[in-house]
Amino acid sequence: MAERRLIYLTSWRATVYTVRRGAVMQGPTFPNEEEGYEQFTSYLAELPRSTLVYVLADVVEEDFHLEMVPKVYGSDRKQMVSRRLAQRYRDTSLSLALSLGTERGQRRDERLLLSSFTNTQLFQPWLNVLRFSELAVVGVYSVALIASQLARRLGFGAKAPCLAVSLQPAGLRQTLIEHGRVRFSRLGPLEPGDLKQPARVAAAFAGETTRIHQYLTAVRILPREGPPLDVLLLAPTGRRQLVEAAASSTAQVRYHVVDVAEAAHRIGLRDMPTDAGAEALYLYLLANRAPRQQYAGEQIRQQYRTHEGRVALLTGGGLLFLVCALFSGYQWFTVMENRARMAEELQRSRAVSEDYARVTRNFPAIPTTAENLRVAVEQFEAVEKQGRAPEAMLVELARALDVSPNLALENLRWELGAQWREQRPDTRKGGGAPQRPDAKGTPGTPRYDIVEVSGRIRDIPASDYRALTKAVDDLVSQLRRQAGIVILATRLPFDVDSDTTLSGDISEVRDRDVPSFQVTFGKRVGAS
Amino acid sequence: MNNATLRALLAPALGALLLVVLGIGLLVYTDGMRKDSIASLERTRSERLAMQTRLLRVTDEEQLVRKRLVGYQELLQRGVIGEERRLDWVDELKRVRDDLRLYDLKYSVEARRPVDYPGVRSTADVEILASRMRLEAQLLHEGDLLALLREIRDRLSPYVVVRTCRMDRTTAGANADPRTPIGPQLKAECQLDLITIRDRGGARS
Repeated sequence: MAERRLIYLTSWRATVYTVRRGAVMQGPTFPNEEEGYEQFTSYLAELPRSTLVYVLADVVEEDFHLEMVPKVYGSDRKQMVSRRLAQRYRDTSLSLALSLGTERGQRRDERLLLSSFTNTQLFQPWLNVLRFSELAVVGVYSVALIASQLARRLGFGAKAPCLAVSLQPAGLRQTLIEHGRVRFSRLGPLEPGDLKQPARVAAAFAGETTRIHQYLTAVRILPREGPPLDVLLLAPTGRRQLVEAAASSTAQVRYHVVDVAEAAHRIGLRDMPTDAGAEALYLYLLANRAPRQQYAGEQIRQQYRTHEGRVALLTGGGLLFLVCALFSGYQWFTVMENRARMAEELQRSRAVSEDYARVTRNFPAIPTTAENLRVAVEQFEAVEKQGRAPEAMLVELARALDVSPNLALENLRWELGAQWREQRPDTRKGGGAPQRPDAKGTPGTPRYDIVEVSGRIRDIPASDYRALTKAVDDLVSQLRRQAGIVILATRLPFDVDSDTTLSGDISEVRDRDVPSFQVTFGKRVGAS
Repeated sequence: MNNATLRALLAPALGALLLVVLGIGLLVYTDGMRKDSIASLERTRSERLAMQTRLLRVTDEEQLVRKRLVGYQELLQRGVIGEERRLDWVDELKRVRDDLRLYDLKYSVEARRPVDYPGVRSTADVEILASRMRLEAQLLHEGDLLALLREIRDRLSPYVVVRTCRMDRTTAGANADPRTPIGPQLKAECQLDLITIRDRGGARS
């Protein structure tokens, strides 16, 4: 956190204060003269560059003026306020406008309190030193602005109007507070002689209050008839009884006396210089909760604006980081939760594994892993399914040949698991005859055990086409009768198929040829 | 905003940027960890469930293991599981030829390679392998071929799958002179796969 320095400025000197951990500590004092400015310059030069400076002015030369202005917003309001301040004050470099709310009438005008330090020359040397010091000046404040805050903290001025009276090194400050906001303020310097005599100070509290009440009534800031005005007298530490004795409540005025030490306690100020007046209370409140409105122009607050930008950037970055970190924390929490659940799962898994191991310990000893055992046996069974032998098909053939004594086999070929594609029904050949697909085969195409036989037809003349055809047809019919047998192809000595060309040579020579035939049949793998 | 102000704000801006980058980095990192932890948890859970299911089926598994063990030991004893013993095969083929009194028996055995039968798959540990054998024999009649195949199946240690067989009546047989002594009537050619299993996890592979 940046260092803070509060400069309590009166007409004749500037005193530096530090507020830290609930305590107000007094620093050096600089007289309002050349030597004082030089000392002040040297003092500021030694402060860290990040120090924030607050100026609390407690001077006689200030003005408060209430104006009723139309209710406008935005840049219009800004222009209007600037114009009103310029109309009211010759020098507006230390001025401000406070909104005191809206009138309840039909026009609903805004009540605008214009305020300015009227003798800016008094401030200029100090402000010049601050400007050249390049320290961040937060603002220039009047005790009047803080007095309303102090009164509120002590329980006055929020509902009914209240006059807060306090004694500081600059004099006796009287501030009228309405609805928690300053309405009027005045500083009345006391004679140096009076300050040394407590009884006179106490009398000044009561006397000045009576005079200001009369003035406020005369200028109609306060109504002539009405409830008594609450007056908060902040008596110097240890002089409460004296002030109470001097101030007697009347029909118009009701006094409430609180001494500075008690007020400090009530606002949380734990320590302050022993001879401090009410200025310690104002400085403490200013350091902890500075009012939004202040008197200085933007020129003198340039460093503070830079400071605000720096803080905004770092705060923004920090907030985003915090959001990310919080979400990351939540995610980390999820990770931890998952890890805990995983540890539980592992524990349960280990328990199950142990149970499994205990049970499988009773298994027979195996010469390999259980998985290899399974694969070896299952895959061997799959191989066995492929292992068809030619014997069965040859037996089928031998049985069929028994009824065809004229057929003499020349060649026989048996093949395992050839792929054949089912074809359209063929009335001549018994229908549904399959056809051999390409060499590679197609997945899903049925496989057949195939026998291809070829041979010659004995004892039948080559010109006796009907007998030749019948001999082969008898073999084919006999094969077809056997379960699962499919005739895949036949080649007769004399092809009478309507789908082919019929041609012949009718001569004596032809009778000496030995007619040949070929039959291909199969049984689908898996068929009984 | 003048240059001096911009210069003064540069460092905090970089600081803010660094914080944002750090924050996002932290977020991305923890998000990755969260996703990893979810994946690990799911994996652990599914492993545990699988193990639990396996435990529930352990009785069935025991029966299966016993049943498979019988088959496995049969294959092991027969010599299907293990390395090929080609010298034994040659001896057995010689004995078969003598016992069946075949005229002639020629053979060749190709290099062993994984089988390409439909539905049969090897794994990294268990390989189903085949050595293709080509046989040529001169036979007196068809029954000799059936006897030859039967003897090979019975005597050779691998599992035998007959792929193709072809028999042709020899010209000599077809036009034989009844006065000459009986010679080979048929020529047979067969292709066989001699199946063995290599089990890398087994003791005798």
